[in-house]
Amino acid sequence: MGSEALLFWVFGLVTVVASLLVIAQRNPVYSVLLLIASFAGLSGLYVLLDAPFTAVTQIVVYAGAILVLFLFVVMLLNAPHEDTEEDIARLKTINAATARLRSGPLLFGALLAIVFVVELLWALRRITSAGRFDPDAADAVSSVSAIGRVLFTEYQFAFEVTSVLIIVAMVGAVVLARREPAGKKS
Amino acid sequence: MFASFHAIVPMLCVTAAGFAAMVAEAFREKGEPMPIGPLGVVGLIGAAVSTALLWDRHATSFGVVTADNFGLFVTAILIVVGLLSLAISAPTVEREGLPRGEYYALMLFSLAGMMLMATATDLLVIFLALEVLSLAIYVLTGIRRDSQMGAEGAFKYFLLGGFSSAFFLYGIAFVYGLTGSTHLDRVGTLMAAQATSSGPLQILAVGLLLVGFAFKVSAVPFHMWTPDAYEAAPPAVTGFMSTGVKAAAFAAFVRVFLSALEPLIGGWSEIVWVLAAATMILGTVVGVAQTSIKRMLAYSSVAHGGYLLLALVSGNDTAKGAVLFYLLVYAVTNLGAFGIISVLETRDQANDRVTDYAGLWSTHPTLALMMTFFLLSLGGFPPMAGFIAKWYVFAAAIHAGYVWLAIIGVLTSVVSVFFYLRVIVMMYMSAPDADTRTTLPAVPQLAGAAIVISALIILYLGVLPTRVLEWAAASVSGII
Amino acid sequence: MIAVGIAFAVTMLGLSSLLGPRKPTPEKLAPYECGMPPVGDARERQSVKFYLVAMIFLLFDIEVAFLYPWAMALRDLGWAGYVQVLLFMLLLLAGYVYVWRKGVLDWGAEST
Repeated sequence: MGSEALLFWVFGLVTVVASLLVIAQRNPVYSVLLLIASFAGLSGLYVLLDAPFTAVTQIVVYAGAILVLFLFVVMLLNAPHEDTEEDIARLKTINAATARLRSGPLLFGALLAIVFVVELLWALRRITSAGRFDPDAADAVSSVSAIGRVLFTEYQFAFEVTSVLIIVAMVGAVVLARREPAGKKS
Repeated sequence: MFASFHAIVPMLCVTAAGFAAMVAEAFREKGEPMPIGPLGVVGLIGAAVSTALLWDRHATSFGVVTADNFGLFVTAILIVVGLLSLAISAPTVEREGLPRGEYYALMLFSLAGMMLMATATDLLVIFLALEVLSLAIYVLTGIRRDSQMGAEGAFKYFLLGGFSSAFFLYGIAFVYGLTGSTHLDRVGTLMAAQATSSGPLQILAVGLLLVGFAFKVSAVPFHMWTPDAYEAAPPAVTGFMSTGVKAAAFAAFVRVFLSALEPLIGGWSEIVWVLAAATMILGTVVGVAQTSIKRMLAYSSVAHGGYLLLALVSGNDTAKGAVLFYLLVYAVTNLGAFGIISVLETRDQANDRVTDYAGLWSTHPTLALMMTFFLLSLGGFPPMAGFIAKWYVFAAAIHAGYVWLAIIGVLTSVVSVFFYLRVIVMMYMSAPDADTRTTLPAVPQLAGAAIVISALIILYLGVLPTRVLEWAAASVSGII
Repeated sequence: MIAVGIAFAVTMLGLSSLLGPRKPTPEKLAPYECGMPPVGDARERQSVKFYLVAMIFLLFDIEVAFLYPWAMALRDLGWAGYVQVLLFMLLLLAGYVYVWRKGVLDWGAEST
């Protein structure tokens, strides 16, 4: 029990610190790498929660595929650094309207995030009995074969819809990233 | 197993057409003409036939898709939206040299997602449907690769949309945490059992779902993406997304909030009240200041979302019927209006400022007349369908005791008439610019036909609405 | 034991970075590139092709993630599960054909 609690704190700390560093970095490549660290921490937390499949998916899909994609996008845009203060200042002088556009949604987003976090903390504090879940029921859906059984019986339709979603993403990616400019094709 | 397939047949037809379009595009040689648009029409006709056959059958597939009359009515609206959009899109695709297979495939996939969203009775399936339709529409918004504005609008839409989807998913997670199910009727019964202790988690779950829906129906304060995305997309796509997404999202909105989350109505009705009021007021007031017709219609779309929210908060059966009728009228009207914007656009000029429409009456008299119909209908003038739709919504609100909200609705629609009339005055009273006369292109036949048909539908629904209104009223009994 | 191991590693790394001598020269600070003097910046602009391939990889990666639970529950699910997975794979096969025919997977210079 003691080691489990220790591991929880270690993984939790890794996740939170890495996530904070993600937004504190000036260099987007470092941000992506820290995000991988954050996901690895999350994956450890999933293991502690007896959800090995989620943990593995977190590593394989998120840390593996999605963040590789992030890295490619960062390199594609060739933006080694985020805007420095000077850049922002220059932007402000050049185009005050753009700067206003940037700060409006930013403020709104920050406000929304704060409201959300406060509400979440409030809600979690009010819940005294954490045991709303039946532990046996949770156990029954956490093993990989149990996930398989639920996925292919109760959620079979959702599973098939996922394939259409993947196809849409595929077509979308090809359309948006195709090399010949629009108009050249017949 | 096969008997349970019936409820998904309409969207299956559309999805199959989408796949056919995609594969056809893959095997199309460069420059080879291929009738991919008509493929979509075939799929939609199949969907229409199956919708008609399913009417009153109450079929259920896999326990997560229910083809009740409410869902089928929205499916029918979506089929109309799809057919009109395909007709309006054809000239745009040719003119802009858009990748035609992908364009139609994405449009059809998105339509299938909308139909699924309107008929799904499981939160997870609703979420997947929402993602299918949104993803396709993000891409369609930015499909004009050479347009910088297109990329920007699509990007904004994508970021905010992805954000809202995350909220929605988080809400689903909380609902699952509370009830152990994502299925709407189980959620409903369990929520009703817990309703005595409407705790913070319930409020959080409802709030998160509400944010997700509010983004999709572009309710204030989650409307920021609307004008940019509407302006950036090709007008044919704007027409499609402003009507189709609204219909699908409101169908799911009504289904989730007025059935599964009905026990918590005391918790959310006031929030929706405020959202509705803010949406109506802001959409109208900001709409007045616009000089671009597309942006004006974007804010008008926001305001119309407010009227629909007004019906949602009323929550009685009249209101549900009013939502259906309103969605139909709004879909046809807005598609017609964007169809006109679409045919007046040229390869390198958007022609979407209000002043570009000066003297349209003398150059394109039919188009000017049609545009007048659409704008009057959007404003809610008596002979047009828009009047009946608004009248029903306000009646439902007053019936439910939301008199103040109805008053705000009436006042804002009076103000909104100002900006619709401004365009009309411009079209008839002003002389055309010497150079606009030459730049406005000729009207392609197919799109022209779609516009005329929209106008006829509006006139029909405005003069003889009883039959469709009865259908709409009959559809709402027994929503799950 | 784990705690001892972690503590040992941290101590060793900390000590070596604290006590180790440091004489940086430009050659030492330069990134190691097969022993050759480095050429240009590490962050060159990548072709959009890399992005597309990564995207396609991601999508098929998700597909594989779905196959794993199916494989684990294979016997319970029986033919019904097989049919579902087959349908899933067929739909994605259509996507694969599309991507192939569109030339996303071509890497030759002559492809257009």
